[in-house]
This record gives sequence, C-alpha cells and structure tokens, in this order.
Amino acid sequence: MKIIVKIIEYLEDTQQIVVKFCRKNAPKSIDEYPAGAIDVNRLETVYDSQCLVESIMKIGYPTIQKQESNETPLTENDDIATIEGTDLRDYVGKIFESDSRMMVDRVTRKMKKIIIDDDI
Amino acid sequence: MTTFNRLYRAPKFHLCIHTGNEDHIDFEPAEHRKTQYTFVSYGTGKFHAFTGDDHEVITNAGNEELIDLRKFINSSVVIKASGNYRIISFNSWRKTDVWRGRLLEQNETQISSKHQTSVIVCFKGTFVISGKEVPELAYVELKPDKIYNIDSSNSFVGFFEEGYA
Repeated sequence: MKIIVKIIEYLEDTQQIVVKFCRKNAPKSIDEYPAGAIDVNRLETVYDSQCLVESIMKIGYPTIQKQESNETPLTENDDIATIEGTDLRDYVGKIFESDSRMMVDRVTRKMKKIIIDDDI
Repeated sequence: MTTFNRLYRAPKFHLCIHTGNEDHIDFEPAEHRKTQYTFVSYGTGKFHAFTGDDHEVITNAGNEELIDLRKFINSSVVIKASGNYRIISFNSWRKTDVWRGRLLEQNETQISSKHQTSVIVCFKGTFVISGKEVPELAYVELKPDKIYNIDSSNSFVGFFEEGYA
C-alpha cells in the first residue's frame, strides 16, 4: 500500500505543519480528507527529504489505517456469500471475503463437523 | 520456533489454536480481535487487556479452563506465557456476534438448547454424543429444543449458543 501526505500549511509562528493523509489509491481526493496539525519538533528535519517525509508518514499511518477500516464498501462489493461446499460451480458470480492478515501468518483449514442429525 | 498458529473455520465461528513456549509474548490489536472465549489446554501465563486507559490482567494457573473474554473484544491484548502453552480461542466472524459459552461438566449426561444455533466443540480428548464419537477440534451442531445424550467424561468440551434465546 502506498500512502500519501499533502502539506497544506507551514505555521512558522507555532512551528507546526498542517497535513492531510490518505492512501494513494483512496476512493476520493486527498483534499477531501480532514486536516491535522503536527508539531515540527516531532519530525526528522536534520537529515534529508526522505527522512523528513517518512517521519511525517509514521505519524499519519494510524490515521490512514483508520480511514481504510471506516470506509464504507460499495454496495456491489459488500454482498458477501457463504458457501459450505467446494464445488466451484456454486461459486461463480458470488463475492467472498478474507482478512488480508490471514494470508501471511496462519495455517487455516475447515473444521471437522460431526453430523448427529441428518437434517443439520 | 516459539509459537505456531492454526485456524479452524466453521460457518458460524472459528477456532484459533496457539501453541508456544515459555516466555513467549504475543500482541493482538483491538481491530483484529474477535475472541469470545479462550480455552487453556495447558500452560500458564497472563493475559493483559488494554481498553482506553484501563488495563486488566487475567492469570491462568495452569489448569484447563474456559476464560470468558467477551468484554475484551474491543481491547488490544498482550499474552505473556510463563510456561509452555496451548490455548484455543473460540471466535465469532464479526465482533458484534453474540455468543454465550461454558465448559460442559464432565458428569453431564444430557444437553439441549433453545437457541437456533448452538454448537459443541471438543477442545481436548474425545466425547460421545447420540452415540457418535467427536474427536478433538471437531464440532457438532444441535437442533433447538432437542435433548441429546452425551458422555464427555474423558474430555473438555465447550458448549456455545449464538444470540439471545
């Protein structure tokens, strides 16, 4: 994921910058996201541009994560199906979801179900 | 390797099994948590839950028990093991799902539920219900209001009901 920041204003009197953050592929313009102020003394200003930008990004990253989790999915993307079987013909045209963190650090498998009533 | 995680999926819930060594520390942020209950199969340790400025600690003494963690579903947690351990978490798929659970008493011989969805999960050992053997980490679904004969005398079995009866 690429994240972006826009420096809206440099408040020299109070030694703050006003910034806006969002994901580079966010569903709306960075100008539409709320602005916030950061004290300059929290930033890496003594090295180079990359250090400076990354120090701003580190402060903004939790905000960007919150944006992503608060965004309302498109209605067309939110009709999540549940299917028990593995017949791919049943899957065609349906939408499924997974948590992306599940893709990296866990072994997953279907839990064994013991049938004790024929109609469950 | 200090920990090994495995996830077992069922349509209405899932289990997370964590096996690790003494002194292992694990962190789970609030946004990822869906744990309703945790069964301690073996091991000792402390569970630290951080909710806003509050901090609560739950200590496990090493015996098998089912810990009710529902009130920490929106907390960030740190688990610090003081011995080798194996814990099995019973998780909903959504934070807002409502479950109520308990461990079956080993002398219980019958079970029933008024809930539309109720499941019995074998955490440790093997139990028998309606004449069928249920191995460790398998589950059964119960029909509402039906009485089932059960023998869980050699096992630790969780009984979970979804929603309000």
